[in-house]
Amino acid sequence: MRAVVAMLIAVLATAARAESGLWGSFELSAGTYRPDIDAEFSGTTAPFGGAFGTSRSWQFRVGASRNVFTGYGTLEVGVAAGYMQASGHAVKLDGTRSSDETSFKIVPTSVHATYRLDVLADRWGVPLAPYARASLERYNWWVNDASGKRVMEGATNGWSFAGGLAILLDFFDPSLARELDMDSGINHTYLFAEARKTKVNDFGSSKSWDLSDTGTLSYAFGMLFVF
Amino acid sequence: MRRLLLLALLAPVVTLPQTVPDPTPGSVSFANELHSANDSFINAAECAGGTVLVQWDIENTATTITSFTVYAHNRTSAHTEQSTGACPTVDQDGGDTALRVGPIATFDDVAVSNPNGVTEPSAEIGLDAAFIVSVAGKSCGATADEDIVLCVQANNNGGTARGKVVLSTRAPGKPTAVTAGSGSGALNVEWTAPSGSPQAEYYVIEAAFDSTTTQAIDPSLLGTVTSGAVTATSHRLTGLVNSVIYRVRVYAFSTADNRSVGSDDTRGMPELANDFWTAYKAAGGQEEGGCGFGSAGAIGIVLAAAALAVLRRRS
Repeated sequence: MRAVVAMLIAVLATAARAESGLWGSFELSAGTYRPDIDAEFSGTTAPFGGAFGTSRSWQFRVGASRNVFTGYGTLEVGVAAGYMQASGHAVKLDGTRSSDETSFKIVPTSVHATYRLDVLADRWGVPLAPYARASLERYNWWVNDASGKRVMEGATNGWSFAGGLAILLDFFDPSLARELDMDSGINHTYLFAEARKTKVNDFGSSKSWDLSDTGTLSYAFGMLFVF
Repeated sequence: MRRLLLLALLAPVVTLPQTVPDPTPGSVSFANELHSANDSFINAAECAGGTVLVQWDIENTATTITSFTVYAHNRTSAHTEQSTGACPTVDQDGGDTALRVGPIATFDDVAVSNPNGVTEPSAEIGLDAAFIVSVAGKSCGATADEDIVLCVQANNNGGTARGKVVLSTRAPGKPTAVTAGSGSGALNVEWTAPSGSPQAEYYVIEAAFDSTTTQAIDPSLLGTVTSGAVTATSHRLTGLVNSVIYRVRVYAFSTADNRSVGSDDTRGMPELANDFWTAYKAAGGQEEGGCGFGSAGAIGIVLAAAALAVLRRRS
């Protein structure tokens, strides 16, 4: 019973505190990624796998969004950028690996629109905020050879849709959340996880490779700060 | 005639690649070691018949200097590069029983040895390293680093300049566990640093022709390829020919540029290999590179414009 009362007080305190105004959000995320470049080839031909193996690489992103609607939930538009690197070895003519290194690096950038259903905490005390996001993606990439020289660079465009669930951390420590708002203007802090469907192949261009993730969906997690 | 003789003496020195840093007033500076910017050493090669480049700046320039004498002595508690007054000139000078000292050279023509005048540093002067060592009572076979002081005495006005040079003739141990991985026109060489003293300051990798796997290559056209100074324990040695087997050896160098004996030979063969992009295109990949905006750019602009319109309406 005492726990329920304490939780109720915490929720009420969260709702009743004098928050600073809302402008938008900032987020950090991490996930794994592997471009589907080898899907272009048939049989055992797999230049990406030959150079970089079968493992997935970490991809990190930062993003900032401006809210454009806060009536029922929040609609935001924003931009994001990230970094991913695959390091491997050059391939000899007989197909075996050379000791020479080669790397493939991507700086993914995007513009996106996000709708976050963040009314659950305020109205019903449920610290969850499901969200959906649509993005236009532009993957800026380059390939380095063993000497570190950039042998080719380019950019590949596409889109992605993501759905995720954000957990409102304020719920677990309202006083800390209040202090954070007073000190930094961050109103809410969320921990989120999302699933994303990407298609990055210059919208099917015959002169483009496919930088979509090899998986049907890719997954990421991160922190979201609403201010 | 004397000037011509002195010029002839200095001529070979001027061609040396080392450059002496400017001395401060009252000091003697020495040529930097090739790979150690702020250290002054007499290393094994110099002690075996090489030259030490020096430059001095006499502190007392009240009167015109007509000649200089350069003395070398061991560094004792009573006589160091920080000492003042006239240079010691004889063994045990001033009751310093440990002192070993003697003249190295005298320069009578200031137009050569100090061409910029008495208020400026001298010209770069080449001095016999082995002679400096023996006059200071040291040996090129010293098993530890030894300090030697050069003291330059202006003979007619008492001004002096002093500086310390370190006799360091020991080399590091040889690098071990050398491997030479195949690269494209290159070998990726790795090794283990030697232990013990002196430490290895840098390494040089040498790849010499061993044999060839194809008759299309004329061995007479293949020389030995040597790296520059490498401070890491791995290096990609480039400029090699694919399908040629090389004998690879790594040398360690001390701060004083003393070279170790070579590592045990290992063999490696560069082979043609494709980086990821080359392999992708060789496999028939359709990507062409470059930064086309495509339709995504237009859609992005429309989306951004819509967002701005919404923001403006709200405000």
